[in-house]
Amino acid sequence: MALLGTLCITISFILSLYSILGSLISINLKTEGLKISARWSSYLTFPVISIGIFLLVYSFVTHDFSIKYVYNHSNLLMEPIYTWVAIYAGNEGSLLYISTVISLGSLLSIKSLQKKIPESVPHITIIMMGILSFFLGVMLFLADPFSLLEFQVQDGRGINPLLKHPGMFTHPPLLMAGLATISIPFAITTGMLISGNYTDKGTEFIRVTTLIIWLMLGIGLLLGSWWAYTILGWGGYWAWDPIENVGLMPWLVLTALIHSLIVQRRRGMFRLWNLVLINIAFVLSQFGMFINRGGPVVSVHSFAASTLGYIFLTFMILSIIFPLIIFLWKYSELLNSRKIDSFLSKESSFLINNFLLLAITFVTLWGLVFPLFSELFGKEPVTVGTPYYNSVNGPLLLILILLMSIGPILPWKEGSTKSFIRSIKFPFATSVFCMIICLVFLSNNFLAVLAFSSVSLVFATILQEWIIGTRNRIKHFKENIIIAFIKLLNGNRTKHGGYIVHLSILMLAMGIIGTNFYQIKADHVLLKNKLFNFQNYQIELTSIETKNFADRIERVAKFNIYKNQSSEQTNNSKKITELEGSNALYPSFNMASVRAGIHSTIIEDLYIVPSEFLGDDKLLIRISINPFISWLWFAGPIFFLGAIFTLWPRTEKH
Amino acid sequence: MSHLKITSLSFMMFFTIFCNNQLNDNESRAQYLFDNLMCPVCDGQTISESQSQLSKNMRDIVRIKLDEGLTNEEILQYFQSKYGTSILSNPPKSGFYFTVWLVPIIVLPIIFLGLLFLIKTFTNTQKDY
Repeated sequence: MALLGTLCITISFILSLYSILGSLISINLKTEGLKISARWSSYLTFPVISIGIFLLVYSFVTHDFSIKYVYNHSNLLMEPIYTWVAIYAGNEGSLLYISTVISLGSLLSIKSLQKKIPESVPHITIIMMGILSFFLGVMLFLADPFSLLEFQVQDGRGINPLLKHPGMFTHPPLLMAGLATISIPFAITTGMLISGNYTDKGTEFIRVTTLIIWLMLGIGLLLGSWWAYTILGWGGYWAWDPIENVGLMPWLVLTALIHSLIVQRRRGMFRLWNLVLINIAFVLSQFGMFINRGGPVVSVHSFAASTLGYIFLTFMILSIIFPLIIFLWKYSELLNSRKIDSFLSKESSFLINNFLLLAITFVTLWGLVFPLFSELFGKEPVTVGTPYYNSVNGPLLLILILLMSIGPILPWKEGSTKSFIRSIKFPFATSVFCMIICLVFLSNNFLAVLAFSSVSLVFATILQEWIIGTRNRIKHFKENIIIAFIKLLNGNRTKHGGYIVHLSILMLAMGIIGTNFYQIKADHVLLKNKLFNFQNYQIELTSIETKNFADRIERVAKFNIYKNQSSEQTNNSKKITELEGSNALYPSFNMASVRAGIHSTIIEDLYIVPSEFLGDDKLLIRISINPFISWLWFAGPIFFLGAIFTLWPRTEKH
Repeated sequence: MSHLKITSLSFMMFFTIFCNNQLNDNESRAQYLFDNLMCPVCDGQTISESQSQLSKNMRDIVRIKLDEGLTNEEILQYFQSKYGTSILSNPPKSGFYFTVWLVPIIVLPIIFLGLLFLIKTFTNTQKDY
């Protein structure tokens, strides 16, 4: 089985090399037959590598511990369903997964581009296959998932306990797929540029692929946060950890790209700028791979850590130099003479949006590399933690939210101050009203009040657009309100899908503002059957149990939660729920997995982590109240919905 | 509901929110300090997050120092002198380490002004309609 697996990787490696060579020769000699065969061999890499991944799955299911990767990431006790997770749980397997995704992506994109821009396809094929052959080569020569174990064993080491969470079924594969497939738009633009056919014909395809990648990354990041919130037991969902940051940065750049691609599509502007953005996103995705696989910075979650850091660093440097050369070589073809008509226009607001998103990316990157930078200067390495990111990125995010309210109401080309004031009137009034309400009830933090009122400003802008649009339709077409609204949204999916995504971003913002400014945290020693008052809640420890499993010792604490019914001085508290928190120790991994007990409502979460078991009836808990945090998780489906709405193919009526 | 009830209720709400920040003052200071100290034996976790024995001990030390009446800065300095600057999750705002704050503060406004200038130069002054 192991031999067959390695064979699959070898064959697809040879296929990708052949495809590169064939395309190169066919471009120079203009041989049609070779061009077709090179293209088809690039398609073939996908089925071959899929057989490889199937063989790995088969080895996991049949517990073939003679394969080192299977030995390291599973054991006899593992439920078969976790095979899916085990595939990408380590360095070698995740490389195989990434290769499969890239070959599938290149198959789909090359196939559909063949109809649109056939003259650039050989060039695109070369770049796609070049990237794929890098990953296949690394596997083949340095990290073969099918390499054999040197000794005989009866059982494997088992899967990393932290990965046993529903979020882990989707978070890593989405994030990895997102990072890997950024190579597709990169290959398309660079290929078009080399072939000398940099046209707008590919723009729509690039936009769609970028949106899909952006969606995968976004959902992947959110699921990762959810996982961290429920299993790491910090009460936190985002720690500005290097591994988290390298996933966030490409997403931010892609967000900028999505906006400026709209300008390219509508007005034929920003072509050069978009190319730069795609290249930055690609380099950042390679940077992410490098940091993930043995980079020089420490992180909480380096699951795929390996000694391959320098190989990936080299590839990343190449991915900076290569596009730069192409860029300088073809620079003159990219220029166009279109100019911005007015400062008060969508075009310039998109530019400022791009600036802000890149600024956040830059701040994040700077914080990430600063420890290395300080070492470079012979200083003691220093940690750059949450306070830095929050205090620098926080204001930038706030301005970005403000821009979210102004951008959509600005017209293309040129806006007049008069109409701008007319359309901002209602949202502005709403946000002032919201500010007053907040000042009355939450007067302790002006920044938080400002943030909440900015959110309301954006919300009111979107609402206003929808109300006016629907009203106009009712007036002109005599439709009923629901049909009018649906038809309004359907009329311009890009725009209204964007608004839906904006709504989800507002929900994210609510969660972030709530937890950042109003989280309350405390440690407390609980005694059994004794009530502990915390804010409006009363917590009672009912039992502590120790359960022995084959792979872990689990200690479970159970709580009764009561809530004070009214704020008056009466003692009528009502039991609202029972919570359970656990701390599982995995001796073979020397690892603890903590699960918090969470009581979640729209307003706030009560979050209890059993942090130290001090005896049969004594327990140290970390307790916190996290306001609005559930809004983060509700934002996910809405974000997904908005992106899908934008992506949904238009049925041609004409 | 009478006006009196509404007023008293809103007052109560106001005060509960206001009081929240006054409650357990030492506790919230402890939590703040936990978030500002890194666990020396973990990868990228603060002692607030870490489950390691050393972090537990450090949390105890923080509480003892708080009870002794030390200020936040004094406690952070104590740990810094013992474990070095990398124990702080927040780079010190002095000396060389200030560059981490300085670079965004200087670079971003310059780029933004450059962008405004760019928009200005690229703005069409001759209307073609």
